Amino acid sequence: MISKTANSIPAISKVERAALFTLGIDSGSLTAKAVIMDGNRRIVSHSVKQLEFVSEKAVKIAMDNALAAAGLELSDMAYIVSTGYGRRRFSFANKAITEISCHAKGANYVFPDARTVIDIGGQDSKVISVDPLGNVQNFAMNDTCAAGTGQFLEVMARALGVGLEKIGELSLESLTKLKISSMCTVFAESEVISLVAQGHTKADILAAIHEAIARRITGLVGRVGLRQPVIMTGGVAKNIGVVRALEKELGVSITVPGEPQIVGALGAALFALDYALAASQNQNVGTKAPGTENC
Amino acid sequence: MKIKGSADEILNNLAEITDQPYEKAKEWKKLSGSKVIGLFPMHFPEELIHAARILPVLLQESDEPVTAGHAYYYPFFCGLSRSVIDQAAKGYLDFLDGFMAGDYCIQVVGAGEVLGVLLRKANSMFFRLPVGNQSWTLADITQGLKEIKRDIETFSGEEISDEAIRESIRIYNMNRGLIRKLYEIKSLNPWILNSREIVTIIKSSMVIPKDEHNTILTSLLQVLPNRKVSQKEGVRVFVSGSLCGAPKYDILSMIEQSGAIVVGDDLFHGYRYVSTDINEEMEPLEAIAAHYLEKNKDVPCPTRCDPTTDWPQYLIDSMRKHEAEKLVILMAKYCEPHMFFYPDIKEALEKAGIPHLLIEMEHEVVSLEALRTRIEAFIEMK
Repeated sequence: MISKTANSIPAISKVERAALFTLGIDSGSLTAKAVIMDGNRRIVSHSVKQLEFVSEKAVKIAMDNALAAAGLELSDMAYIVSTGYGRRRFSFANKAITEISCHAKGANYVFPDARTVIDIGGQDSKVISVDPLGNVQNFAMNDTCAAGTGQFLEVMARALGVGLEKIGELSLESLTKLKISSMCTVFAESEVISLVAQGHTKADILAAIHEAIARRITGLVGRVGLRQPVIMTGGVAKNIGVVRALEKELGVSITVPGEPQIVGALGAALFALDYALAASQNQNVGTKAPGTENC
Repeated sequence: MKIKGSADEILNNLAEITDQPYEKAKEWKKLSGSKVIGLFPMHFPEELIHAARILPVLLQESDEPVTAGHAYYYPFFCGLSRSVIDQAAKGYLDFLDGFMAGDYCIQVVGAGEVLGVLLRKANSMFFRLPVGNQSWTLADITQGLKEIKRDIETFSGEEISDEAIRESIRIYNMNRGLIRKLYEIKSLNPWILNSREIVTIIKSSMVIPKDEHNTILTSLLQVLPNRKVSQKEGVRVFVSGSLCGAPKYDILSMIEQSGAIVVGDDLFHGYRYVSTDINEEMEPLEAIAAHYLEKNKDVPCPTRCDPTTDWPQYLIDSMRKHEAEKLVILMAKYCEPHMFFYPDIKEALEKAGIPHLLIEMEHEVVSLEALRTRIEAFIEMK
């Protein structure tokens, strides 16, 4: 258990803290993310890598990139926390923590006032209610279907022949309101193809897709309860079309951090720092925290 | 008679029984030359059937996907009723000489009618169990029991004596008492039996002769205190719900693997099944009728529609009694009685500051990895 005061930095010198590095890795369904943090809660480096067939390989690349950018070695890390779907895979991690807890903590770091975190990743979406310390108070997650997540958008972008990174901006050019009624990825793709055949513009179709996602997320928000301010994390937050559609559907403005994809890994690095500082308080300053506690 | 073996060996034997839940009943039927009646879970008077020297077997949800049964029942009915119908459609329930449906749940009413179509050789019986808890309810339930007793007698060709019912009540009370003793041991040492083992013990009680189960439990109780288990600190969790079918073992294991210790439950394949004894002194049918009202005070059931019980308050009290920190609610998808009460339960728990996680269980579709994340995140919550 992390102590309730884990967010406050224990009384070791600033110089000692600066030399205390921790690593957070987020092995998601589509991308691997790594964040390195120093003992003064500053992000030293980060990296995002699109997953390949062997996900461990992508995690290693993301991790190596972050280490290289920081000029550090894995052995320099005082504590490592892994998160995401692959969180239990890595023997070098000291602890695995869910992405729900990590996104809450990471979101609290980038936007301490945030009380609701909407995280849409590659294959799932979560709405998390957070307290001022970044602790999870309540959450809801898509449980039976992965429609409306990153992979869903990839399929739709492919069906329309538009690059994933362009669909957000393009959808904002929509002039005519359309409706996608099915959220099943397969049926929605058929609907999209049918709309294309009817001569509708790609911008209108994409706007309809984004609205459909927003309606689905609004259902999750309803289960948790909307508390403002709202922050959006995860890869889909890079899609301005989804963000605008969600703002409209929820009737609130949404903050998107500069690097929404790394928020989970950032939370993991922050948890790792809590553990490393707790360990250093126990006279283990600068050494790797003992034992692994992987689930 | 004593069953030899360590606690692990006895528990493994029980697990083998529950893996093929009807094999023991088929064996018993062959050896005894007697009959087997299949029951839906929750509220059937097993003691009356036992008193007629017939083996009552509680029908279990199987892990098999519903295929042949699809043609006979709605996809939006609960997994248990759909699975039982599927088993009947596949011929797995052909060993039944009779089955009993009842009116306490609309899905059981419908499933009973479908079984009548699928199990043409089996005798179909219907137990009328009046709901509520008014001044006339006890007499009304007793009347329903008289009617079903008459039907069982017609089916078996023998009259059921009061003495036989009393003896059956005694055997069933013994079974409940022995299982409650296991719960007492677990309350002092929650690691001694994990929740999968508890469910296995109770599930096996539902499908084999009770006197045989009593012998097994007596032996288990003797060796259990010597069982060596690792004691790992964790978040104390109470598991509630799953009112008819046994929860998937994977879900129970996930809860415990996530760093929780299950310190209490009110599952049907758990404490709910054994919470309350039947009075052995009263007139037997009236005693069974009174039991329906009494057990609802101990562990409320939404199908009883009893205005004198408060389900949300019962849950809050159970949390305090077990010193539980968090509550996991297992709700079978399309279980209308449970779904109907959940908004009240949610509101009361939030007001009482009790964190809870609702897990909706489907017969076929369970995204286990996503579920693991939800359970772990819930346990991580401060």
